[in-house]
Amino acid sequence: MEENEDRGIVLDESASKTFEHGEKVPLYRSVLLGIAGGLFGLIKWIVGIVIDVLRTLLSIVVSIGKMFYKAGLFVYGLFKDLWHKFKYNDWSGRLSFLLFGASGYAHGQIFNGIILTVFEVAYIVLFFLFGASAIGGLGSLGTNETHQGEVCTEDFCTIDTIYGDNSILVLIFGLLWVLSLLLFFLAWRSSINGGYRNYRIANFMKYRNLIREAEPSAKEIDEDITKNRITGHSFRELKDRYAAVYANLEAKMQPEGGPDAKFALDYSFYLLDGVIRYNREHQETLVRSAKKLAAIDDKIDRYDHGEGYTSKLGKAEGEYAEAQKELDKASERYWSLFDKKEREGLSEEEERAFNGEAKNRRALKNKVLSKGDWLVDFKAYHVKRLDKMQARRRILAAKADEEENHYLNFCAKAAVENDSKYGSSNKFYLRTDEFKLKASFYGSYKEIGEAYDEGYASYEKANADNLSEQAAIKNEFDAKIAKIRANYAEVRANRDKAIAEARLKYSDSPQTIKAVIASLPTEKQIRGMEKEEVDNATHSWKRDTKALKTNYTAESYADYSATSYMMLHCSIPFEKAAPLLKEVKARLTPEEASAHLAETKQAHEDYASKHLDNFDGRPKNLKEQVGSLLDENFHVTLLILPLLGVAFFTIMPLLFSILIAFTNYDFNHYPPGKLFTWIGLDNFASLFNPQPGDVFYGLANDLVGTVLWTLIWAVIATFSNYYLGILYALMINKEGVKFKKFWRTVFVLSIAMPQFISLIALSIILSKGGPMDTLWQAVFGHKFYFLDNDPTLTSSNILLTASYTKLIIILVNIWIGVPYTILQTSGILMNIPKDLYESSEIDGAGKGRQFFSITMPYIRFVLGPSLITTFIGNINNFGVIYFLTGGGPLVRNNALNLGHTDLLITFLYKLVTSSDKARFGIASTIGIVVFALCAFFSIIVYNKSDAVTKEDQFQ
Amino acid sequence: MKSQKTRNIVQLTLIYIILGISAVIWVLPILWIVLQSFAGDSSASAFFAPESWTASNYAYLFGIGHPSYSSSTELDGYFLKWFLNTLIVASCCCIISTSFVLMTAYALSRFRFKGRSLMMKMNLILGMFPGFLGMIILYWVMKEIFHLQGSFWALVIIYSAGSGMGFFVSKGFFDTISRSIDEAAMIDGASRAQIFWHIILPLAKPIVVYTLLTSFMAPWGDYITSSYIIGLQNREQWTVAIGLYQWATGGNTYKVNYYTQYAAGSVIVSIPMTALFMATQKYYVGGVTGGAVKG
Repeated sequence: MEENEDRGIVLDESASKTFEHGEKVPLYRSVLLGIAGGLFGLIKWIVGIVIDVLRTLLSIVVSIGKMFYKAGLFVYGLFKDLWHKFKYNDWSGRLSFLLFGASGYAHGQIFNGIILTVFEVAYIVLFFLFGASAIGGLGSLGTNETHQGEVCTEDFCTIDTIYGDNSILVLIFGLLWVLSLLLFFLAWRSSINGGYRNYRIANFMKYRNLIREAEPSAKEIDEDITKNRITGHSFRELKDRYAAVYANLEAKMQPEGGPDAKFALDYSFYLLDGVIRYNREHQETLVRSAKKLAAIDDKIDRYDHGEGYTSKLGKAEGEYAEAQKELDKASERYWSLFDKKEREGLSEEEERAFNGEAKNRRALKNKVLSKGDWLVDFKAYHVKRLDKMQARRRILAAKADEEENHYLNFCAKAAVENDSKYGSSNKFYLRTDEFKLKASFYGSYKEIGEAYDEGYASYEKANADNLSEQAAIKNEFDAKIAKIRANYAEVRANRDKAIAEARLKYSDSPQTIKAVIASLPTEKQIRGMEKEEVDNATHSWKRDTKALKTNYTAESYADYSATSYMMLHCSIPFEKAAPLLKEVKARLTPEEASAHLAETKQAHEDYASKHLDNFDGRPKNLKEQVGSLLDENFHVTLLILPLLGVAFFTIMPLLFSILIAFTNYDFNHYPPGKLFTWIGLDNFASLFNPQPGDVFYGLANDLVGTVLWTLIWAVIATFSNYYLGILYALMINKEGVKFKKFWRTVFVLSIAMPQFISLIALSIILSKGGPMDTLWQAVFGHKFYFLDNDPTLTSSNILLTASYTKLIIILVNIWIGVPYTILQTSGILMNIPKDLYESSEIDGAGKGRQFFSITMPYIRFVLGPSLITTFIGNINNFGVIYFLTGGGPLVRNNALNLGHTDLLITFLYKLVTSSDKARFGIASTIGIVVFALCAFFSIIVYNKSDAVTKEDQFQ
Repeated sequence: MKSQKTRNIVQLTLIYIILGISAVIWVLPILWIVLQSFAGDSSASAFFAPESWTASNYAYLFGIGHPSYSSSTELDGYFLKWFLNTLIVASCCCIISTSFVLMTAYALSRFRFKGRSLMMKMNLILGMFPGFLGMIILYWVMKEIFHLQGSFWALVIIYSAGSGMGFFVSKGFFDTISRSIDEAAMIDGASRAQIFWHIILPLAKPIVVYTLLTSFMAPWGDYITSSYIIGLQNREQWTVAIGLYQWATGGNTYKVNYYTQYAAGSVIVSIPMTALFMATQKYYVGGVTGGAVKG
């Protein structure tokens, strides 16, 4: 019974299913277990879906709330920002709030100034001339109906058509003007920001000094808050706490009076305020994440060591052990009877008892098995849930870590911002930096050279060592191979000798010779063994050689050491350090180096004496601005055209169509002849709750059917293509299947030609009286219509026809879609790293297991993300339905031409393109419903896919 | 050992049977189109193989002859015009779309700027709206603002203007090109524009080819947008897709179906498309799989 002893830790069910050698688990048991498992899975699946839907709804509500909160924060931040930029600014910057581009004139950006001012003036004039009335027109979408009236010229009057408003143009231009307000707002912001930037660039040194002066005080506050982990205090309280720091700073600055001094003090206090606010918030975030972390730690601990788990585990283990004990006892009885039977036979009574024992023992075996299974499942489930919790913990911990480590206090931030954002325009600052770098470089020229030499020497040696070691290994390997060859030559010789001897000895009995030969290893086996040994030796040799390779040559490592020395000890940034390597390699003598140093210092002094006010800055001129569009602002150049294209030809049309859902735009209100207007939510009402007289009255059930069919279609179309495609790809790529390329080409042929061509062809082939019908009749002798669009179908037939039409549509979709999956999966199958299979083979995994634990997860990992896109694509899949059935057969008599196989999208198309009964408003409403469906499912999938657990697997 | 072998043989036989049957199913419709294109009369569409053979369908495409069973001459002699229209649309789209896609992809792959993640999210959300909805308005925009009603030039604008949204595959490819190449070039003093032109684009040749070809192929297969924007009355301006669809299904409008002409036209259109697809399929696979693994 020792097979059972390690059941507690064996998680592999295939191993646990075999009980004794040759004895399988009874069939009924596995069937029952299978059914139970299936039922359980189904229930779990349904519950999971319900939970997902609820969770998604909740997350939608939460994210809408968050959106409002964020919008509020944005507006608040905007106002704060504007106030700051008004307060700390010069006159031209302040004027920029009203007169666009004013600061440009004052700071030498004449071109920018002119553009902004002209834009402002032109916009305001145009707005009052056209824009205001256009926006006003949005209220009613036009009032002048086109009508017949008198048209008079100077001489005579005639009756003619007088064209009035066109609702759709009123809508388009009105909305365009509304959106242009956004543009105006952006221009305003850019004027303000430009003004502020110009001011800060001009006052770069002033701010730099101010920040430097405030830095020690800021540090004092910052350290105190960080050290004491101050949280839960109001800003006022903290400000009182640091009143002394404020006072000290004020005293240190020694105000001389005047507006400038007041400004300086204001700004310093603004910095200190910022430090307090910022760090207080930071501390609170830290506390929050620590709390979260502690909570999840606690949860993990409770789950792993808590009462619930241990007691349940103990119970399961106890039950298992008890069943095992019972079985052992029963087995003992059984075996003793068995022994007796073998030895002396049994009496009739004993025989009965023996049979009873055997039956009892089988029952107990089953009990042990099921208890063991339960124990294993329980443990596996526990581990799985624990894994999930720990994954969540890892994310939280990483986040908390980032919060802790990426903190920069407000004052330091201001300094960084000042340097990076405004300092790069100040030539003096850049030049000074350059001089300092050079000086620091020549100052430690000797050390850098030493670092270079050291790096060179160390890798020269390492590489030489490697080479000699590689040679040694190679020798060793050659010897090993020679030895293996010699060994097997000997084996072969022995074999030949044995055969020859046998031939001589048993020359009269060919049977015996055959038997002797059979007892010896065959030539093929010897060759196989030899090859295996040689392969193993080669493999380990290659591995060892590879391990000895270094990533660097001596030169490149020397470069690396010198550069890293410069970066670490001379604070020279990498992009400055790399060009300096040339100087390092030039091998200057110490005298030359010190001469260079002196030269640099002299140049620095000269430059500094020339610019006594430490200022040589100005905003970028036109040329520099244009240049930046090809360099650091290249993304603006790249994105402007595509973005405009998307904005005007994708986003705007969608916005309009959403708006149209709230109008009565249809064949009765078709401009330019007739006007349409706003009708509020009437379209939605008539869709969801149709009243007598509405177009959907009496069609409510059919509409629900259409939505359901859309969803079912999307699910089936997505997954049938996915799984069948994978199946076909696996078949084509299976080892031993010949003509792989041929099979692939056959399938790919069907997607290589334009889809509508093959769809039209299929619709003709399957149409009533088409080739397929003819063929069917020729073979089976009776009529069968594959795609029946006959509008005269009676209602009892129509549902049946609709059902198999749907089936045929799905089959055709498989015809269309499977080759895509084949193509993708074939690519993936070739890309799966081979070592995954090799290592799993060593672990003893069979082909089946490899498929389920390597191949499928890999395919799922790569194709998984595209499934949701495919799903949405299928909800909006137009071609297959439109070209095959056009939505038919039609639902009873309905004015809307709704068909049984119509998807929402094809129905929408019908509503829009119907030549005399077009209903645009309702079509847009349906479009919004489609969007809601897609968004809903995307969010469900997005919530479900936990990137964390999957990321670990393949990277 | 032996049972393993028999099992293998049984498996392989099964696979060959399944693949063989599937191959027939997959090829049959294509074969049907080719056979029909040589069929003598359109009523033969009830059978797989035509009863009489002729090359006149192909001649008809190039403006020679007239189907014997039809008296209407409404659709005669247009095919070359349609082909040319589609070729113009496809070529223009190909150039504009490819530049838009590559520009967007490069900007999103290499630059970190304000609104970047918003753009990526918006791209996802916009993809969920049924794109056809926008056509209602675009029809009016083309008619009233661009005065391109019923002209195939409107298609050029519509197809290529929003094409920047298809940056996903190219962005995935750019992401796989190491950033250190950019950095090295920057140290040498190259501007971002120079890096894009002289370093990244040559390295990204496969994806450039892929984008060029896919955007070239798209207009050939689009019926829905083109028919709505151009309209069925402007036969001069049709693309191949509208023309072929009308030939195949226009029984009500033209009193007679042009099945065989449709088949011949399909063959003429499909041959270059199929060749292009076959040539680019490895990029197609690389685009889908590469982006996901490295993404």
